[in-house]
Amino acid sequence: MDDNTKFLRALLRQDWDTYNAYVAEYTRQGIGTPVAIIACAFHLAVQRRFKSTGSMAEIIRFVADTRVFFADGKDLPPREAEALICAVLDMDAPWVEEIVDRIDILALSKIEGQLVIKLILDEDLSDDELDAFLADAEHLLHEQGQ
Amino acid sequence: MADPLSDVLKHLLELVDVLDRAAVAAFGAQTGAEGARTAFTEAGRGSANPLITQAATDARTASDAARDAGQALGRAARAYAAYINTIAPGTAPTRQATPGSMPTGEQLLKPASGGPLSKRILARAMIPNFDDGLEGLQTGANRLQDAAPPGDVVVPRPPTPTVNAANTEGAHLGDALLAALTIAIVGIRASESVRRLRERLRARSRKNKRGSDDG
Repeated sequence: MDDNTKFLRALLRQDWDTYNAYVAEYTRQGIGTPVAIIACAFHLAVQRRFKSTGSMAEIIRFVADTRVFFADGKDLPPREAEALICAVLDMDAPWVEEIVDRIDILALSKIEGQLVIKLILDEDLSDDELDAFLADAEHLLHEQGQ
Repeated sequence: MADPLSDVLKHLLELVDVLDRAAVAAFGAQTGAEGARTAFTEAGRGSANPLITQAATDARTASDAARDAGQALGRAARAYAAYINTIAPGTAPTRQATPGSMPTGEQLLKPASGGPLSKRILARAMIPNFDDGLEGLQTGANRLQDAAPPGDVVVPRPPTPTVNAANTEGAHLGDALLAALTIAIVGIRASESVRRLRERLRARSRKNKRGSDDG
């Protein structure tokens, strides 16, 4: 497991000591958000959650729940969040493509980061299950040539 | 007395105009329903009440239905205009997509360019580390730390008044209903014109036939 994945793991596990140590180290080195591993984890988590039974109503409900969970949801725009989930599921209606195409990388990492946190919290994974999930995410990352 | 064919064309053009306006009203209803959904979501912040979530879901369903209705009305207007131009070329204005108009059926079925959307969105994010001062990751971490721990009682916030959104949606839906009624009335008038034209043509045909029999 590389540092970017361990960083994400600390966040998903809410291991704040480890997380804060990574924040300090990354900040010192001037390294930014590990966007690629977040994207891969998001991709897999969405597939696991919605692939078999996913419906638009279920997606809308999940995003609404996540906004409620994150207290005020001000950093989680619902249309963009729903569009990103639909995009992973290849529900490529024109509105999905239109919204996804105009999301910049920073917004993408913010939205996917929050959604993947909620998706993994909802799964209530054990440490081993979380490690297996992150190993799959790293595998997907390597498949993308990273 | 007006030429019967002109009368028919006038009513058909009126019908196209009404269909166009109904499509606009339907898209307006979609905007209203979308606004209602946002209002419900805002009102539901801090509340785990499933009714609020359901209300937002229903508003989205209404929004999708209004969008579909607008697209169908637009297609109907195009079909009528094409029919008018067939029987009287150049009578109906050329139907070009107007700015902000919804996609056609062909556009809806168009596959996403550059492969599946899931692969494209994943490929776009293949930046190991984005130079954002960790803002992207920290946003999720901050929100997670701010979130109420499991089991805590979430105090519902006073709901945001949704009167304006509801009124707006009602107004849009009212417009759509009025437009539908107008379509029915104009459609009846157009069909009456067509019926009158047919009767006149039949009468003229009978008169001509009698004339030739007499001669």
